[in-house]
Amino acid sequence: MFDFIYFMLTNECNLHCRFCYADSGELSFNELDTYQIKDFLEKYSRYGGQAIQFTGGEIFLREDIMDIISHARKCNLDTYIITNGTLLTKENINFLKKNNVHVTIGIDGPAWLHDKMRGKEGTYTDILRAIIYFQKLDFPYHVQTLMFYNYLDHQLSWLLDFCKKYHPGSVRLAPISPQGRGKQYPDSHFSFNQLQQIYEASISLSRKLHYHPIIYRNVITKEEMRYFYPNFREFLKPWVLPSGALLPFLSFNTSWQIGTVGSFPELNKKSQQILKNFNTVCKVSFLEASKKDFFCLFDIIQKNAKLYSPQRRTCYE
Amino acid sequence: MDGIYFKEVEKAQLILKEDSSKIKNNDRCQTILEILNTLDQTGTSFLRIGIQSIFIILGNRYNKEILQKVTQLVSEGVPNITLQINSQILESTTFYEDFAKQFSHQKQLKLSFYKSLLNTPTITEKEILLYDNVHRLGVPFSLELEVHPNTINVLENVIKDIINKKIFELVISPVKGIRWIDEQKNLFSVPEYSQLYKYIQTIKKQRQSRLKYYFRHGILPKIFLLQHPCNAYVCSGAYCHAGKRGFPQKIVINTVGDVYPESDLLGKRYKFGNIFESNFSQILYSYKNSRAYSEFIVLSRYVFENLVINCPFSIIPFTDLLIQKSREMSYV
Repeated sequence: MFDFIYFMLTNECNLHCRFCYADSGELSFNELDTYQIKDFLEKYSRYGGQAIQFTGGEIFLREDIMDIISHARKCNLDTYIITNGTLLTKENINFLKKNNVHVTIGIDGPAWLHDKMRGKEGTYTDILRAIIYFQKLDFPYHVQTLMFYNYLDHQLSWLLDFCKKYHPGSVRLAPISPQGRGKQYPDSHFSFNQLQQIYEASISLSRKLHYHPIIYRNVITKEEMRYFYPNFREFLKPWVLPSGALLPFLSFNTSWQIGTVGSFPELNKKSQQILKNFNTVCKVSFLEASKKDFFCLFDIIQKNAKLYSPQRRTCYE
Repeated sequence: MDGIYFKEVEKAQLILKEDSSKIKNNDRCQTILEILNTLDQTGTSFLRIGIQSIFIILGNRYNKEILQKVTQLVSEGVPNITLQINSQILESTTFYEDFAKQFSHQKQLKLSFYKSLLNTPTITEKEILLYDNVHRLGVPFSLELEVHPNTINVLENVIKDIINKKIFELVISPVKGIRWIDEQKNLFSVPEYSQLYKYIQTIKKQRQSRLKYYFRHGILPKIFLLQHPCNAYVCSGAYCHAGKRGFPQKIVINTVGDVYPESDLLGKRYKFGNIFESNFSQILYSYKNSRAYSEFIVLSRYVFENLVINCPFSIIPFTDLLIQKSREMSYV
């Protein structure tokens, strides 16, 4: 049914990032319990699930996180996590290594910039402590850096030094997303034309670092579009929100909901219409993207999803 | 990667091949022979110049002289020689008999039977007999199936036919070649390579056997290219942990004697030289200072940076991307 899924385990976060796409902070009253999550993992695996990425909020605020990850591994799911890194202790890094979990840590720049963006002093130091332990264990970790248009140069020179010193397995350059709290800082957003700077930065960094670590980017070029993307639909993976709502892509508008973790793999009655309208969103986005030299897939989908009513029967095609 | 292997070489491999679109059938073997003779006359020692394996694409024509030449290479100690022939060869020649005399239990030599699924989408009784006989000779062999986007549907049946038929290596070879590139319609796109990979994985899971599945040369897992970018020729020797120096892992000599890195479909600007015009060893030694080398590195780097790193698929037809991009660039 699905082979990869993003699972937001919680909305709770110990930081208050300026650009949080999920507007995380407080614990939601309706978050799933351990049993519900484990039950879903079993069903997901049984119905063809291959991999899962746990995200949040901050997943290490959940007391049952080790239990959930262990269970995902027991279900033979390739397990990816994304964390802000501040709660990574030696104990849980050992656990992650033992369970072959792919760990991505969000770091946005030098200490002054990172702490400013993450809304809490000292977070950079906490993360470095964890990273040094990763290095000591020889356990590869990955980095995701949110790129801010107005701090791009600072971020790139920092990244170069950081990669040379701390050797992450890979770095992903991601332009900040204009959703959640990200909407509030238009100066930091990249326009379509400005996305070229992230593309150029990724190549320049790769060369300077002699292609180790791997520098990915969340920016797709016209040429990549021509070679790799016959459509967008198959590249968008479903998301599970902390409440258990299952959506065909990242959205906090629950009218796009096609099911729940409890009812999985059954989809709800309106799901056919929602998926049909989602296909239309993908097609419209595809047409729009094909006219651009650079674009960010998630953002273009988000933008067009807002223009369409998920459940409306009118066929937009 | 789930028990499906990728044909790659750690050290330089020489590929001698014909370009069937340019020459007549009768010329083909003579030309391969000429190439081998020329290499011999110019004192080429494959081992000394670092060539560890030779892949000779013979097609459906052969003569005894070629087999004698290959025998000579074997006796000189070239560790791996693969002779690729069309499996229909038995119907018209005495190949099997000659081969049996020359190569029985020669471990350096390997046969590769090439079969296109386009014209004959099944394995015939004669072919099965051939595999049995070659197996009896003790010569390791593989079956290379040329698959096209419109012959994928017969692949499962063909695999069903060959399982437990003494074939231990199956090479899946998505179609490539000049005539296909020009026609475009019969080529696999990058997403289709991944679909093919998944499809073979499924077949492999369903049909448990000792059969080893390979992908042909030039198709690689993305992670392999990313973790070892020297395989994409972008990592300079100065920084490579393995001390690789960007020298092509595959050197192709086509029918007219032109020497190319990776593939002879890349275009003239990437040509090292011609073995009928200069000494092969010298061509290789002077290559790193040549313009063709700089052009090739620019091409590889472009493909790696712009198409490999952010490719959303886990299987990358790297050589095909080089070919496609080189042709696009030549139009510019």
